Amino acid sequence: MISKRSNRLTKATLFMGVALAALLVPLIAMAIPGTGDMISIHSPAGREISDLYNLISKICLVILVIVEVVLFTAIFKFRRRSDDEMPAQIHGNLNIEIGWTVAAAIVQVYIGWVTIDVMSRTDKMPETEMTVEAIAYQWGWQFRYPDHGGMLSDDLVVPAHKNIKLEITSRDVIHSIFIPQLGVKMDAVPGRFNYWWFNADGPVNQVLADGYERVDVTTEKRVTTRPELKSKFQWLYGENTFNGRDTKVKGLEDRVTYMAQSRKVEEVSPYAKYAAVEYDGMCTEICGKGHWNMYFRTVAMTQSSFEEWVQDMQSGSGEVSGEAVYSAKCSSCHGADGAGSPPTFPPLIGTEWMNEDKKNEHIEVVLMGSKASTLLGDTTIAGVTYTGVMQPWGEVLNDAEVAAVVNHERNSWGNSGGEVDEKMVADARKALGLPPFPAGGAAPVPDSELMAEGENLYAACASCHGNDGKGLTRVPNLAGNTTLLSDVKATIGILVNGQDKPNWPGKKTAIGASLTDRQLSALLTYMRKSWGNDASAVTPSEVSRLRDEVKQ
Amino acid sequence: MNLANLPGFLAPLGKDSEKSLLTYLLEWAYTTDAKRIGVMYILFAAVCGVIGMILSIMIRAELATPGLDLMTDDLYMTLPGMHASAMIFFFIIPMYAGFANLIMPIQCGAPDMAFPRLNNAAFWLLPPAAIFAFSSYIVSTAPQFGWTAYPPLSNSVYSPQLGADLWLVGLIIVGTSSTMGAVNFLSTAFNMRCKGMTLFQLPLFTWAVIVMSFLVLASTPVLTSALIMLNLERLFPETFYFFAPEGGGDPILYQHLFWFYSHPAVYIMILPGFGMVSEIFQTFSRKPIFGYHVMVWSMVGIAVLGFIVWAHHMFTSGIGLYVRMAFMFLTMLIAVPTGIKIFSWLGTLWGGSLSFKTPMLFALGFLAMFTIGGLSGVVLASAAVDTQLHDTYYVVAHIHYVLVAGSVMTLFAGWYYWWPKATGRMYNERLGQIHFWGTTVFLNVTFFVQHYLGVQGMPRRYADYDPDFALGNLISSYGSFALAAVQIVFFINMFISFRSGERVGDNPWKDGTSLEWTIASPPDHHQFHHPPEWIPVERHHGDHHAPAAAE
Repeated sequence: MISKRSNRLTKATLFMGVALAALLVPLIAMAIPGTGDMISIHSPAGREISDLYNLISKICLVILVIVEVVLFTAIFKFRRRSDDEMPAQIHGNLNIEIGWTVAAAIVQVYIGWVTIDVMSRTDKMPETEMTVEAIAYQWGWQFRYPDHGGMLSDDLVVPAHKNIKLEITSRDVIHSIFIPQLGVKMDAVPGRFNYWWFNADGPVNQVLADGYERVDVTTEKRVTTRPELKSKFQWLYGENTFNGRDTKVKGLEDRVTYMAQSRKVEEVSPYAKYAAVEYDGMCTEICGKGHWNMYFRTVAMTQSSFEEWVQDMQSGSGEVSGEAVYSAKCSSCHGADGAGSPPTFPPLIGTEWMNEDKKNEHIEVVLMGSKASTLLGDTTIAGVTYTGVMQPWGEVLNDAEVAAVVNHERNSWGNSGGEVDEKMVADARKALGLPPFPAGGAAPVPDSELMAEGENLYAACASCHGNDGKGLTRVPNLAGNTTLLSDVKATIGILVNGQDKPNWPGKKTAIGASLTDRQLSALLTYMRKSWGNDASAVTPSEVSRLRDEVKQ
Repeated sequence: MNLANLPGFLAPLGKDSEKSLLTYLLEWAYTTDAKRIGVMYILFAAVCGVIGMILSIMIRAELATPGLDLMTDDLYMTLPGMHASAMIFFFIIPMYAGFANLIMPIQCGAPDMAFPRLNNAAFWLLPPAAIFAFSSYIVSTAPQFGWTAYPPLSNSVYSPQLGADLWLVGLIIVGTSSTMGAVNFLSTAFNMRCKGMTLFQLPLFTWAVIVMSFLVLASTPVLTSALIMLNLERLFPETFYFFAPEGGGDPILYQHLFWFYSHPAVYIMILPGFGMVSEIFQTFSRKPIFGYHVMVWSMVGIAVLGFIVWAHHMFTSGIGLYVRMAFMFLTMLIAVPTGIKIFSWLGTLWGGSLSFKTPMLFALGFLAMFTIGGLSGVVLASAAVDTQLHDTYYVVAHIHYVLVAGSVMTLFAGWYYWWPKATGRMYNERLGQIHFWGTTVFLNVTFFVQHYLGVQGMPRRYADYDPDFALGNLISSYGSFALAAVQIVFFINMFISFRSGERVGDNPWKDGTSLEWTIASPPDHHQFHHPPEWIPVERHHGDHHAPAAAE
């Protein structure tokens, strides 16, 4: 009777041991190098974190194995062999208890120590080589490049091997930027900036910046639709779909692009023509129903490719409409029909610049405005002397836009002046001693100058918004203002067009309409950098560009 | 079933209620008997647990394969939050409150709770709270902001639906109910102990309830006030700016308030379980707990530390470097008392005479798997590592190892352990063992693979994911379906044994030492016929000659 019973117990215990050992397999698998490793290995800080994870998870694995071995030994060794056995009644052992308390404390302090060591190194921002603002919204991302005139991009494109500082904020709810392979994660909180940095030093398929070895890893350049995955998961999607509807393959098609639904599904990444490597970026803080669909591309390029990309972004890749540029920039003075408004603004119909072979002079006028050599002194056309001042557009329009607007003027309203091209504009800039467009036509305005100007201008706002950026009752605060910090364009729109909301005590007048681009940029810069706000400056050229976009 | 035949406290009190089921049920509804209130808590929690499980199955069904297959993202985004609220606020916490009501007064030697009417009121706040919270699915759309409800996502601009208000009201009521329950538990344990029962003679389950009640009392009002602030902001959007940056509020303030409750809440959801398994290990190994005083003080230590670690949920919210370091260090310190508890349980088992009945199996399974959850917590506590793992499936795996392999395993252990005491009938041991093995195996299948998904960067609360993660998600989904199916065995077992289980005596496990095993199964309406007297147990460290425990 007793032997039969203990036999059954032995079998049960054995079964238990085998079953639980099987459950430990995935745990032990984690100890094998490579499985369960982190993927944040393409940036220095990410690698530190990944190494730290490997260390801590191995320590924990050892502790786990010790606990389980003791547990299963106890289960096996001290199973009840007869119904009436009574073990020794031990209430504890103070030495053992002190021993394991100290041991546990030592392990924890050690883990804490190595983590603090890593944090103090990864958290400290090394010398910033470029700053990008990551602005989250429901549901997508926008990246603003304050170092490049406030250029905007849907994808995070950066030069590889450079320390990139991310200034992260949100336009609406809390989001969180996550680029697993680069070890980037930081919440995007409306009304404030959070910071993180990375240095994408993973392999790029071209010669790298000076001081780095050449690496040729073409496989890193990923085709976005990844057709090979379809075959890989074919067994999942056979004829037996999960719910009878044949949505799987379609879902896969949509999803493997790894891109937001709203975007075009492209066969190949739009960055395929650059020497670059792509990583996935996404949102990790729940932000509403589109939370899962906030993917963006993080593209690390060689320095030369990055410059090429900036050029492409700013030159608009040849799809500029001269008519659109004209109506945005020129028509307010020169008239939609090119007739001008005598005696202030001259007509563009039938004048020498438009019709004779004065292409370079025409380009010069557009680039330099009233300071162009042909406009110095009185400008007399058909007996009328014009007094208006023309502003230089070279800071604002890129070569393609200048060429397009010049062509539009030379070939409209009966003019027949022939065509110019971008290269002529670029040559003209060189001949006039102007720097090439991306660096900005004029010398950059120092932030301190803008701040001082902005402070004076702000005096007009302070009566409602307060000297400290805290508004009167129901007047929006400017300190920590979400729109001000995260959306330059919308802020300019509010300043230029005015705004009214039912609950506001008064209407926000179109105070910015009478300000010049320079004044507006000074005011914006002042507001973005005061009362605890810590956003980047806004340049006059960015204001000029966005002002046209918000014009109603 | 003839109502008149029901034994003990289940029996009708009056002649009328013997005949009419309605009168009998009303008698339960109006009851002030802690045991009956405990049973009502447990049944309510079981129903909500099933609802929570259905929601989790919906989540796993959607995530089984890549692509939005079964539902829209509009519906999906309600599920993680509603699953979490169902499980946390309406399943685990009330379930522990139920066991505390059923067992704790008896373990103290008290005839009832200190405030029986308050006890009844605390329970009856729960069903309306649950109806408020879940009715958001019927009345409008359920909230889509997860169980954390971070503003600005949860304010009236980004979550205008009425369902969000209903959910908030439901949670505020739950908070009130928990606070009322905690007052009652503390008053009972401190004032109504029988003769000979000093504080350091109390069984560990009662100690766990005491510590849990202190946690509830100190932290729940913070959550309630944070939710009221949020609700004021929602209802009067132009007047209150607690969290809205445009009016000078700070969305991070809400996170601090929320986690000031919700981190201690994790211990509210595990400490009573610690107490339960401490009882079970003693009974089924025929040995007193190893280091009783250390077990008590480690629970107190966990509770105290639990209040000063909340910001480790916010490592990526932009708080300063030194703040993160401090919170990380404190968080790591919690592993020390928790480690002590695990080692002390091993010490209890070591040298014992172990019998593997279902309650013991669940308690052992808890010990084996909760350790995984505890250790992945250490990994997450490391602030540098957490910046990578935060809001990924690693966190999902961790919390489920803590709450499913931890709390739910202890709840099943406690359920099987005290089932004969509460009903007077024994469950079917074979079905119990099947239930244990099924739960253990499929729990690991479901949740272990999520560690890998998290490490590879799959964010949580995603309705759809990169097909790279397809295999892991498929395994996890199959595991969860099987895990849910296994629970049917449990309900069948309980149904059969309630109707026709073998009748048991006062002490069915033979080795139960606390006071509940000295009275009838099920206990009579007034549990003790004479005021009990506890014979103190010698609890010296390493004393081999302690007198046998009280009869």
